[in-house]
Amino acid sequence: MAITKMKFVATNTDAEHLDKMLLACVKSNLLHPEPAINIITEENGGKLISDENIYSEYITTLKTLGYNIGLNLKVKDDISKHYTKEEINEFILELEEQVSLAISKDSTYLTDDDKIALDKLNEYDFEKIHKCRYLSFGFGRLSHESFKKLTMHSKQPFIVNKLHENNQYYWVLYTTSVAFSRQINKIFDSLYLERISIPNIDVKKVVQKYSEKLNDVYTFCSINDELHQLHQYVLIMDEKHVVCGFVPEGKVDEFKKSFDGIPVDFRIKDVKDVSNLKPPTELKNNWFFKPFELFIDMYSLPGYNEIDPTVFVGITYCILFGIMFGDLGQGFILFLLGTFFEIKKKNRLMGVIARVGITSMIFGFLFGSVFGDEHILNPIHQSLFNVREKLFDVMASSNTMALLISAVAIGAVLILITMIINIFVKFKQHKLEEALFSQNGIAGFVFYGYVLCAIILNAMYSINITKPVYLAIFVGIPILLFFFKEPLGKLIEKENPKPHAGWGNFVLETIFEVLEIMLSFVTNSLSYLRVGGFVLSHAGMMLVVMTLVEMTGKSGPIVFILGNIFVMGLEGLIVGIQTLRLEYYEMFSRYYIGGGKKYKILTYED
Amino acid sequence: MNNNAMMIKTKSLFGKRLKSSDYQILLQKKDISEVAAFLKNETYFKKTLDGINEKSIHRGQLENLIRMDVFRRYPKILKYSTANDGDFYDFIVIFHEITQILNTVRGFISEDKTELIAMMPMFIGEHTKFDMKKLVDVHTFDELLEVIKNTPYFNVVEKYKKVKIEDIDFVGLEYSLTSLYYEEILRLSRKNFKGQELKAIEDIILTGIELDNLTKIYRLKKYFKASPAVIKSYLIPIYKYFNKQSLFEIIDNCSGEEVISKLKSSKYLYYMGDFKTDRFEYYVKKIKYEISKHYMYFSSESEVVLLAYFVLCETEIQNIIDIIEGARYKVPLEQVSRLLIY
Repeated sequence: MAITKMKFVATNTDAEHLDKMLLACVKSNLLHPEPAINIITEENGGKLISDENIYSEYITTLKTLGYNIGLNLKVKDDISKHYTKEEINEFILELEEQVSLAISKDSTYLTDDDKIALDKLNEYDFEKIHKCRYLSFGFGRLSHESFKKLTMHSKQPFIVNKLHENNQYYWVLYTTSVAFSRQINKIFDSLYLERISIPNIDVKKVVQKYSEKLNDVYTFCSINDELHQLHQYVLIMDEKHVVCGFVPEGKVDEFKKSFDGIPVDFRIKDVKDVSNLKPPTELKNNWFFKPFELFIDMYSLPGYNEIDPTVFVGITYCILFGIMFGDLGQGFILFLLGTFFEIKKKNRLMGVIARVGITSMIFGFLFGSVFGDEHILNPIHQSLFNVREKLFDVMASSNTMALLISAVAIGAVLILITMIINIFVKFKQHKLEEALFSQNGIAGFVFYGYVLCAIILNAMYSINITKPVYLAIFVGIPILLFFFKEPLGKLIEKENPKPHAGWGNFVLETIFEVLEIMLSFVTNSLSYLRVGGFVLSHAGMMLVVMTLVEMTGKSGPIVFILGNIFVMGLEGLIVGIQTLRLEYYEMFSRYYIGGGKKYKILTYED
Repeated sequence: MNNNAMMIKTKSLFGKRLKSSDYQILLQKKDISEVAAFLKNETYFKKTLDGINEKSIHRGQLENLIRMDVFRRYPKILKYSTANDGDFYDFIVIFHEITQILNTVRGFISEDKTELIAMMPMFIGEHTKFDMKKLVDVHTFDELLEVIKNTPYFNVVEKYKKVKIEDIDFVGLEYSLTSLYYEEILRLSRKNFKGQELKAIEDIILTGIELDNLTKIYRLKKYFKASPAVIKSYLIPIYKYFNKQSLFEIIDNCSGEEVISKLKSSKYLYYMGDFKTDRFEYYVKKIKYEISKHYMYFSSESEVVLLAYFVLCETEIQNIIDIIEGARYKVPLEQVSRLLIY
């Protein structure tokens, strides 16, 4: 229900312990780092680290070598030793030499079938093939068409061994005497043999010999490469290496403990003392409202000094959804499904569904609807609320206007509440112009509140409060305040109230702005009609389902189940989206700006 | 006899041919691997080329596969034919048989049969009138005649039998076998077709022969400066839009360059419209292509459509070979594009 308070932390150490300090920062899982470039100013004389990342290239080379010998490199949990640059270079050279002997020269062109054929060829042992002094070998793919022609060369001195085939080629090994090799090679060339060079040694031996050390070196290089990625957060000041960032206020001690055994110094500051930096925002809400943080993330996080709208969104979303969806049985299903998947998959959207399921059940009970059956709860309503049929019959035509008016009334109340929130926030942020003179400030609250009261008092009690003096005070003055908001705001700030573009332009522009404000009050209020509309549409759709159930006789239960699933899915989706639209467009636009930076702890992926 | 199923199948295959956009893309390919990859992945040669390694395929192998793909379309189409349609298409096999006989005679001077074997189209094998594989062991005319006995080629080849290789009249042999080929085609067409269908088929065949005659006249005049008597002795006696008199007049009185003007002002102009070029052989190929395309689009006779398709396929094969060789020898793409006909 709030934004976590942060502290600015700067840790520093000497160059020798930099990597340990960075590792400790990562392992603490508490630091939201600031890029060093944001900290460096002319005054503090900070510098960035500018060393070359040699490990990135090593990783690419090692991966290529691993790929060539069919080894999938893995980062181990721990490394056996630290390697110097010279040791790594020496190892890579040795491995490259072995790999070049083990793999075919045209390995970049080898297909899976080629590899199968090479495996079969290896049964003859590559080394033994190359050791032959009097026999010459050739290996490659021969098309089926060309293979048939081999019988026409039957008098030539060679033998052919078929190793593998597919629908296009045979993979063959031919053997001849060294004396005839030139002539036989010419024959196979004329038949378009696509030669594959025979490797000198078996790649499996290479893998066996080097895989352990290769993974070890790879792990070492990977760790160092990732640490190097973190150098963007390191600045050098007075020969000290400094990492700066934000840590939750209550966890500073825990953060410091992560550096036990490492010679580091800390400087802790309040957020207000680092006004050039934007503190990160971490929302803090209880288990019930936590899933609604999803909607805040989608829109924009609140700034560090803004309010957290999660609770307000949670309450209003549940109520509006519940009204529009309003079915006890379907709400129960939503609750069950949402709860199950929230627990199993830790999914925030499922959490939202579980909560709106509860309010859907409540309003479903009040509307007397259970899986579309509008009569099943009548006896309970009659005994509980002392009514003739049910508390509120949605489908009764006499209730339609009441439903729609109620929807608008709910909207009007929500608009007023959002205005109050905006006034509070703006005062907190010392933005007096917005707090006092804007359409969402005190002026707008007075105007809108007066209009609503006038309508309600006139409609319900026939009391007329639209006398000229009241109009002048509660309508005229707010409109004037809307009109002169900008110059008045400047006056409060003790600045020259004259508009930049001159009074003429100002008046012309502001006339249209004020008209737009008036119109927006009407449109925003009427926007809430959809709440009533969706109540009716949900009930209407279930009426169709129930009618089909009656018509289909024995298949009724199946139609009932499928119909409910369909309506739940369709209505659930539409109502969810419409409610979100109301939250974002009608409510957030009045009191919420966002633009906050997410609190993101330092990890290796950074 | 019209066979709608066969015609529809032929036209649907024709619809899948390489279009100008495909040729434009192929012309941009830098090497054989790229050409092979495009043909394999983006054209209707996909099935035939499936399984090739485009990065290492040999140029000759690629050309072979393209030819094989075209040849294998005919059984797919002829599947829809009635019992009487089939034997007309023997001429495709005859063409390959004659080519192999001529290759064999050329190979008399060499003991090395490697090239002969490499060029042998094995996919024709089961359709031939003689066992092509036995040609590998042929070194003399007697051995050749033994292989081709009981075939129509025997009598023709026997006339040119010589003991000494240097005495072989190879040009005459080629001329005689080619005449036999044309006679066979005309015989088969007259046996199997009649009326409008026969007229259209003869139109395609006879214009092809006549244009080959004109090409011969052009080449012998321009490159060999041959005398009219020699030229006349090499002509196939078939006349379509040029009668014997006018053809002889061209031979007697025209230079090599004037032959193309005569062609351009002939009735072949109907198929060529405003098309302009001074390259004679390209112009001739273009005429053959346009005639076949005309029948492909407008004929309602299934056999005519199939024959036209055969000619159009040959043009497509030649286009692809030109592109492959252009890529192999790094010929500038403007030069290669000037060879293409589509």
